[in-house]
Amino acid sequence: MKRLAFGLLLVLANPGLVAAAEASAAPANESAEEKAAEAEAPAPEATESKKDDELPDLSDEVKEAATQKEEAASETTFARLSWEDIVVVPRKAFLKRHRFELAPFSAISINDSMIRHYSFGGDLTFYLTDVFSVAAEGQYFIKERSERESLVGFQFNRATTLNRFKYSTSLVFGYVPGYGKFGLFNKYIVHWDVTVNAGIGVIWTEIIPVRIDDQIFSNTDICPSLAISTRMFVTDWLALSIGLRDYMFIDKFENKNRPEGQNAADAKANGVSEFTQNVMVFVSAGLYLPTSFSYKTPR
Amino acid sequence: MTKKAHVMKRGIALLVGCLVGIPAVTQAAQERKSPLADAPAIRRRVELRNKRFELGVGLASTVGQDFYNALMLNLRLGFHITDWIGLSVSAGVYNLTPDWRSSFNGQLNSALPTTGDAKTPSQNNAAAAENRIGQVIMPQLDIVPFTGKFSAFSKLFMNYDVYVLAGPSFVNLVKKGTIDSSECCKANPYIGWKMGANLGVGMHAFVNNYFAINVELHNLMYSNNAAGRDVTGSSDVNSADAQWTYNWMVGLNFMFFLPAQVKVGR
Repeated sequence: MKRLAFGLLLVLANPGLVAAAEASAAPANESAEEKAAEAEAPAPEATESKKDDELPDLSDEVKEAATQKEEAASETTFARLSWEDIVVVPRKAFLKRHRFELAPFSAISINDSMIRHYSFGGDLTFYLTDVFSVAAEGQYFIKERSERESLVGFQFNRATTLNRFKYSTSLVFGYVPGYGKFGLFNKYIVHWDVTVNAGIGVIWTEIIPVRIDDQIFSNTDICPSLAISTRMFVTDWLALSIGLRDYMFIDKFENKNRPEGQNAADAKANGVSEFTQNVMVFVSAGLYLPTSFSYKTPR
Repeated sequence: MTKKAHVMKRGIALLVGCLVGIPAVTQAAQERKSPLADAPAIRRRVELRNKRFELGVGLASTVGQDFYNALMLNLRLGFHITDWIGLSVSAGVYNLTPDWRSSFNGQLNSALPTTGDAKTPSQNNAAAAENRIGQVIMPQLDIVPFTGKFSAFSKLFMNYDVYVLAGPSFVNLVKKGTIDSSECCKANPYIGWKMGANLGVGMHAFVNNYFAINVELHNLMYSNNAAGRDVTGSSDVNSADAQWTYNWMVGLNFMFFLPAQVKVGR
């Protein structure tokens, strides 16, 4: 019977145990800020503890607790010797060092009102450090002649000399000069960085002949490029980017005075070289390998 | 009492204890909630927009126009209803560069004859038919989903926000010069106030609590016949020749926020 009574007592005591467990768990969830706030207010407690000896009716337990508080406060004060110990950016949320990034992208040209190019391609990037990277880039272009271009002949009796881009490949070096985070609707924190790139590569182009029956010639041009982009980190292995890329090269266009029926080799020999810029807005999704990372420093 | 009866009673007691205790533990686990659960993402946030006016002046420029780009004196006035939603008006009130030809137009014009022939307009006639932007008024709704803080070279710390904007647009298209109707090719400049749509993005970089640098990118969509020439092949130039066009505009403004004092969030 005694055991039965003990069992029932346990049952009745159970909610009490749960409440005690809750109470003990709560302080563990306190934020660092709250702890800091507690630590910042040691003065009254310290003053009280100094008076401990003057209070003869305090029990030993209370005295011990007060002493512990005083010690904790003094330890905290010791830990905050310098403003340099305050961590402004505690940890990067995303580490890239020694990781690969495979990023398919799509882009659209924005600086030519006569012809627009869409491109589809990919970057394979290796991060030497968290801020330096080297990448191989390749893309395929699809052209679209603008309505304005089609109206030039109709409205002004003139023809445009245009080149279309076919594909390109580049070796690209990247540097991350800054990173940060922003609040989304003051609810979510999103981490981002800014990357600048410089590259050197090759672009293949070909003319769009004024006379549709004339032969086409192609060009292979050395193509330096510059880029700036911002990257938002979604998970440990996924980031979304948007940016601008400027491809600069000297391209050869069809001569305005090309005789009808002139072969491609002669037309190319008589072609007109012009400095060309192809500014593109691109978006990409970067998949990182390995898919996870670990911190090697304590904070 | 036999030993077997003792064991049974002890087993019953434990069983009852478990049956009553488990729901209590489960409920407690559900009710246990982190004290940070309802906390805002950013504590002690400086409310730089909520219930504040902004007004400022700057420059706005068209980008990639077919014939004439425009650099305009820009005014901007706005009120932020909450921290993330606001109403504003951005207006390019004066075109500082009415003769700023696009590179395409420069090449085209130089390829045209000084005197028109049976099929080709002269340089002057072509230019007189082409319109350009005189003024732009853009009442807009600003939605501010992104706010944050950045540092430039670890020295200059600034709050910033990024917003998307949408609203109607009112564009005044103007002409310059007169058309010689004795020449070939009918032309009729497409001018006057045109209503369209305005979509874009913008950002504020706060130098302090009441002064910010503002950058906006607009896509103005309106009906236009920029060349002022036949498009449909009807041999006449009329409203049917106008088509919907996308016109990009970039603005840089210097904004003052009022009241100058700001509230700090919880």
